[in-house]
Amino acid sequence: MAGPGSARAVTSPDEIRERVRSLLGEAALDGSTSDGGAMGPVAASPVSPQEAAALLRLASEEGWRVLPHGAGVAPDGYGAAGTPPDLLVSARRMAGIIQYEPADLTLEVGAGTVLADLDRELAAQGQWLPLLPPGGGAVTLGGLVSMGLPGSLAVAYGAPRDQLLGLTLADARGRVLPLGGRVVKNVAGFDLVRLVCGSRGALGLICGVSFRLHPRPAADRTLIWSGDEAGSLHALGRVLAGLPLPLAALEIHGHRGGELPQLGPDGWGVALRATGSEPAVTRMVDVAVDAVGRPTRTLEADASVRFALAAAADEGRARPQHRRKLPPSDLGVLLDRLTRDGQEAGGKEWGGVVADLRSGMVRRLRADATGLPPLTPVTPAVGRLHAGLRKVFDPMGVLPGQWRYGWR
Amino acid sequence: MSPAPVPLPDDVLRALQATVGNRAVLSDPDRMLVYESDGLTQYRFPPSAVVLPGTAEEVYRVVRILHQAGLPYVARGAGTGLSGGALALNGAVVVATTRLNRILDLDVENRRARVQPGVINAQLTRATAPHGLYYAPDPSSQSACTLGGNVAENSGGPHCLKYGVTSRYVTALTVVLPDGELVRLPTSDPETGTLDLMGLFVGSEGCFGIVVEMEVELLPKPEGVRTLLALFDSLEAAGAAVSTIIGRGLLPAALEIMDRATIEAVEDSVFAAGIPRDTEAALVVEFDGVEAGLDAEMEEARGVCLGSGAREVRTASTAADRDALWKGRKKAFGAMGRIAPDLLVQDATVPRSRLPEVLARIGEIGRRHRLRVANVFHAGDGNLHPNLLFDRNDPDELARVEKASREIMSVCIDAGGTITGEHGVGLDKRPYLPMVLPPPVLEAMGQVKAVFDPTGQCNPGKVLPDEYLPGGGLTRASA
Repeated sequence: MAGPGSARAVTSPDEIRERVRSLLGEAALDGSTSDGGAMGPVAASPVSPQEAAALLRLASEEGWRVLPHGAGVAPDGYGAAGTPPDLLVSARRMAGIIQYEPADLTLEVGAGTVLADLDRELAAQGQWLPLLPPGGGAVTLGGLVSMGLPGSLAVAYGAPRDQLLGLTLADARGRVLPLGGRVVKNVAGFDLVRLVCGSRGALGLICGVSFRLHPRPAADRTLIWSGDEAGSLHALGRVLAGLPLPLAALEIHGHRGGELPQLGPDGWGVALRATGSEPAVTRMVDVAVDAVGRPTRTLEADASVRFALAAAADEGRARPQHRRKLPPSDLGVLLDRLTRDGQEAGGKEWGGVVADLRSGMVRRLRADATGLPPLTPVTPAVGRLHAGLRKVFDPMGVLPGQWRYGWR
Repeated sequence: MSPAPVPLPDDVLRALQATVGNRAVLSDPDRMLVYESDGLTQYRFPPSAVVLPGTAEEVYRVVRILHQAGLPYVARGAGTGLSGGALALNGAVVVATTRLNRILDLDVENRRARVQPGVINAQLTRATAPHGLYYAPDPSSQSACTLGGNVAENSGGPHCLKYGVTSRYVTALTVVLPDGELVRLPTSDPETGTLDLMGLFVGSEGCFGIVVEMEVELLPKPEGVRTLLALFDSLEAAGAAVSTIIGRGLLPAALEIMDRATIEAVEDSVFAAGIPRDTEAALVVEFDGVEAGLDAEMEEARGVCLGSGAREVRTASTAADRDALWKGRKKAFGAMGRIAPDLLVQDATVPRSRLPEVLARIGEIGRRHRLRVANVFHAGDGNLHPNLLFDRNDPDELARVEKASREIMSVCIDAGGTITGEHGVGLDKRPYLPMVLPPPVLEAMGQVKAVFDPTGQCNPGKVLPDEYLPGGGLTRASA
């Protein structure tokens, strides 16, 4: 046994492919990368948590570097970080609803289920999973949980970690771990569900997930105040953020690429989204307009949903990209800086930014953005905890914890 | 059932006194009496000492001393926990956070508060109210329980149906790890490659370390609140009303039910709420949010209740009227103290649609074991609190309580539920955890515990069965 951390026994893609075929059968090999003895990683899709666990155990024994992946639309997708894996493992064949009881407002699905497909099923029941991760409707539920990134609805409805009830993980020890459950409150044992959420494949392959659901809002409206620079928009956004309204989303968008025409010609806008009953939405909109004046445009119902989805999808396309969280009141300085950078870059060159005016989460920052607050360094104690936790699920270090994030 | 206290070695006692001052170390058995027990009253475990640090630095110096001496210790907030999580097994030293009770910073614009762990839950909401803000998680013990304890238990409350539990509101956590190291826990971040250690820590029941400082998110107070109390002639009818309300796409802030046994206990007590004693079920429904539309939602819920057979629906829109409607529900636990010396509160959660059949089976289990069972529960999220009333001096009754307890948990698990929704496993539900978690998950949890606490000194003997705990829960080692 040779872990990738030690002297690594390199196995050829053909050999890996053969071993996977004999373990799980031809159907587990994904055609796209398995033809013609390509040099790239072998791609495999187990059909059950048990198959996934067996595959990860084999990879662990052989020391193959494994990268679990979803739809490949999240900003941290394969290719972003140097070291290539030997084996890509996907939950693609574990797709579809496992259990859905509309009366319970809970749902369990295979991790390979695509969010947009799920949304159609939920819409038929008047229900909703209010998550808009980078990549929008194209993400898989497993990928969404694995990345754990909060999107535009996180302040109102919670980030993935807050809406997640349970998940099934296949780890590199070859264990199938059903964690959490299907009930909305559950504190039986330590919270490994939250540990796995946002672990970016470092602890295993997520095979199934369960979520709490919400009633689909009767009314959905987005107000956009357009502008040509972030500073004045931030002042406006700050007023809106201070209103005691349960808004679905409140963000400042800067896009120079013209991907979101709703923002107007200058590509900057504050977008306020209100969801709920018709009278409640009308009231929220009235209060907002009283406070800061009429918006440049109002998007109703489907148009409101489409804008949010387009913004999320666009966020997934920008890569590499960065994110920072700062006190919302400090956003102005950073946004001014980004406006200047954008002007210097001369329009189209500049990617854009999305800042949540209530949580202070700034997303979609391009790699050369300047003036970002420094990242919190990983202290030795935190490093030790990471290394220890990795070994619980991946003692040989075949998953990305060690070879991508350096948790030794 | 009090095991003899284990005296603390003199040198350790002196080191603790030198760190926090003589007055902040209790070792006299009489003064430690209150620390023998928590909200789970049938157990008593005398600690070998109680230490009350006054600063975060004192906490890590105390933990370092205990860690180096190889002694077990347990963090304790207000001691209101209902699963025995703060009990000092094996003569553990209690590290009480009650002196760390300052609100360090209130950032109104960013809706954040930085607090010490000993701040009382309701105290934070009181302090933020003048700014139009409040702290959402509201466990029923909120007038006494500490925010550090809420982190340990990942506490819920009646309003978590709409607003979610503690972990959603904790935005930063500084803790002392079991070896005495002070660390600010990261959340998941692709920029630094970190994991959500903060999320893992919340709900770890004091087994991964001690919180010394935290930051929480505050919410703006909703513009309007409407509450109704519906009285039913059967528990099933109340359950059906809950299902219909949810089915209509309404999302109340709270949906709470009390059964007849609970109503009788409340009405017999000083907390009498004016509910007729022959009412089989009382349902509290609360809506909050922007004013507009609340009346319509309320009217719809009222119609649902009447349509489901409610004999009476009372409504409230003023704070005073609202308090009156909530009174019975909030004082239910207190009222039960009057009718039986002891009370075992169960905390199972089941899928909401299974509530009626589960309640019927719980009733049957109670009758079969000749026990009084009073149900109070968060109907909206399927979180049941069957209260088994008993007298611990009656060994036969105690044995029946334990049998019934296990059967109730079985019924809930069979219905697709779990053994604890918000009270935690602690000591009380530890034997039942294998009913709901398979061995590989218990093994992984034990391994995770060992990453934080390899020697098993930090809150020994809790959550996991001994065979999965580092140091075997220290049960035999130091008993």
